[in-house]
Amino acid sequence: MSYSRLQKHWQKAVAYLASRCHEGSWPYKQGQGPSIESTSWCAVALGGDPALSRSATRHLLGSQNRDGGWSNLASADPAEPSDWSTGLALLALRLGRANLDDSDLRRAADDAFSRGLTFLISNRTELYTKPFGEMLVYIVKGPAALDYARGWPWTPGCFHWVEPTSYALIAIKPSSQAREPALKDTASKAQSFLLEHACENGGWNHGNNVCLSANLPPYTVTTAEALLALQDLGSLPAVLKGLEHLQSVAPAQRSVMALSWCALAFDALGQDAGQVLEKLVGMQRDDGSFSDSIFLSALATCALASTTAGNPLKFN
Amino acid sequence: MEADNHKLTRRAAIKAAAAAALGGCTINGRENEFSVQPQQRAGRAQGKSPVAIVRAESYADDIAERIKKLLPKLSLPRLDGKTLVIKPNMVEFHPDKPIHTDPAMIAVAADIARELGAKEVIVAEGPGHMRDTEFLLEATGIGRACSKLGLPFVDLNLDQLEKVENLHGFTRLAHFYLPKTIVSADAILSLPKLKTHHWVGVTASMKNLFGIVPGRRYGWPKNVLHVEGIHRSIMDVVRLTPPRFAIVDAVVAMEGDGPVNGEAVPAGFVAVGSDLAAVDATCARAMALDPLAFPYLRLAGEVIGNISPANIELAGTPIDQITRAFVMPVTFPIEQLLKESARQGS
Repeated sequence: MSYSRLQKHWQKAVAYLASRCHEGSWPYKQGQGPSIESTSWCAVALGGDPALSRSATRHLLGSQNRDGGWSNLASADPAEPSDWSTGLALLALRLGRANLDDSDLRRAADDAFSRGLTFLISNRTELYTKPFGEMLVYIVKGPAALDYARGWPWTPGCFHWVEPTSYALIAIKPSSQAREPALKDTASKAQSFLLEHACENGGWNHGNNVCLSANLPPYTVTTAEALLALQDLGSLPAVLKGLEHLQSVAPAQRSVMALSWCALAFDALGQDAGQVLEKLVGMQRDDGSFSDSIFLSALATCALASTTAGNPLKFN
Repeated sequence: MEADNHKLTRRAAIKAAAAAALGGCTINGRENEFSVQPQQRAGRAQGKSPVAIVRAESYADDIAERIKKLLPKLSLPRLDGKTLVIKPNMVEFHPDKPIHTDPAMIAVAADIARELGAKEVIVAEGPGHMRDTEFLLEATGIGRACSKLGLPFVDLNLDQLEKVENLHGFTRLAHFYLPKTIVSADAILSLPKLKTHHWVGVTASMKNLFGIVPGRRYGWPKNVLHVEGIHRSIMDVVRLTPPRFAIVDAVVAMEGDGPVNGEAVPAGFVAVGSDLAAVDATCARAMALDPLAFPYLRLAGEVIGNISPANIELAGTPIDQITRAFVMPVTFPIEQLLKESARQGS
């Protein structure tokens, strides 16, 4: 597919998303209240538009919870703990920073980003309760047993899963603070969690690669997401097997979500995304959208950007 | 193969025993005893509960007509002028596994809804494992069934949310965020696939309601429902979003390592009723299982409705004609394995 044709589709998608913005936020569907996930993906997709980027940043700053994270509700609820959408909000803030020419806003965004990182570092899955569970493990198994792989839950107090862990890793790995010891260790343990939960024949499902001794099959979307989170470890066997799996299933994909994630992952890992993009643009509607879901249209726009404006999820 | 299975089971049992040694220090350390308060019994179905068993060897059978013939005995609520939400099971897809409600059952449910006077019928589901609802709708055939029947589909995972207080709940959750489509519906019809379930034994009309809990807040999987205790969570969700009735798809059911990794079993029936506890207890009996063996069914017998056969009036095909022993998941002879459930998504 020619660059100019892709660019036309991308521009149309960008215009659609821009038209759906309401004071820097986007809902999942027209008529609903805002969602952090939808807003974050739209902000990422519209990263080339400084005004919208600033507006989205302001919305994200205004909806940050006191604990430093975000929750994927329509409106902030001070009684609610933050959740999995924190990774996506941080991704949008990190990518939007380049558009912030207002130094006060940039400082506020940097501060929000740092507080978000602190939330992520201190809100990972804990397999053992503190202090007694940890103490028991320490005595029975030794200190090394407490240095286990851990990612992020969907909601606080739960187990870790592939998708929230991938979102958070995609957000934080390329950040300027990624070399700081606490964040480096957090990211390292999170990617260990992903590597340990790869399915037997390659790829990832939601995080249950083995259940009751049965090997469970991978899913397309979660495989692409995990590959994006591990794109800087492209020579590892789990990544190579995951990529091989994704390449084997990509030709059969027909959903906006699967095609978008496949295109983003292929591009980030230096593979040809032409076929999946061809299918994706075939699903674009006259108004530029790809679905009734604004969030899915934003994902598709990010995928198209991979060959036009640049893949926003690719680590530099 | 059998030897392999025993080996795997032993290995799993050893792992479970190790986990049990640390029991109480993991985040799944909740006890499994239920103390039921009078307020929690307030909505329990009263009197006897009719449940129909409709034999159906195939989805090509005229299942809706067979159900309609039994409607006078079922006391299903009239739905005149009301909006009914049909909630099928579309948790995940595998081409060789009967994980989801068969799409033919959407037409059956819609037909019955119209027979009962429903003005508007919506099909809605919040798939529990996969985020890609568009894929699931196509792969399961449920999307085509909705289109053919002109029924709108709502992805409950991404619906607008309403905060609902969890008064007198069994979990520690003070409230749930639930989809507006569900909260504002006049009536809900639970349309599950009958399956064995490795954490709760049997999944039918009540466990199916986990799909109502929205992923946008609780994730894929909705792990908090496991961490809070699956039995308790089932009760809370059923009590907060009480369906008016259920139609259980057991034409082809699942046995073994359900709810996603089991095998197809031609059970050959559909169960219908408005007391979900009675419907699910009847399904368990049709699987040659004692409902009292499963904590959430025992609890449902206290707070939802009847599970004792003495209080269930069966109509249609006699239950002994469709009863067959289902192969149970490996977890049921080894209860320690059940402690794994909080960290598992299905």
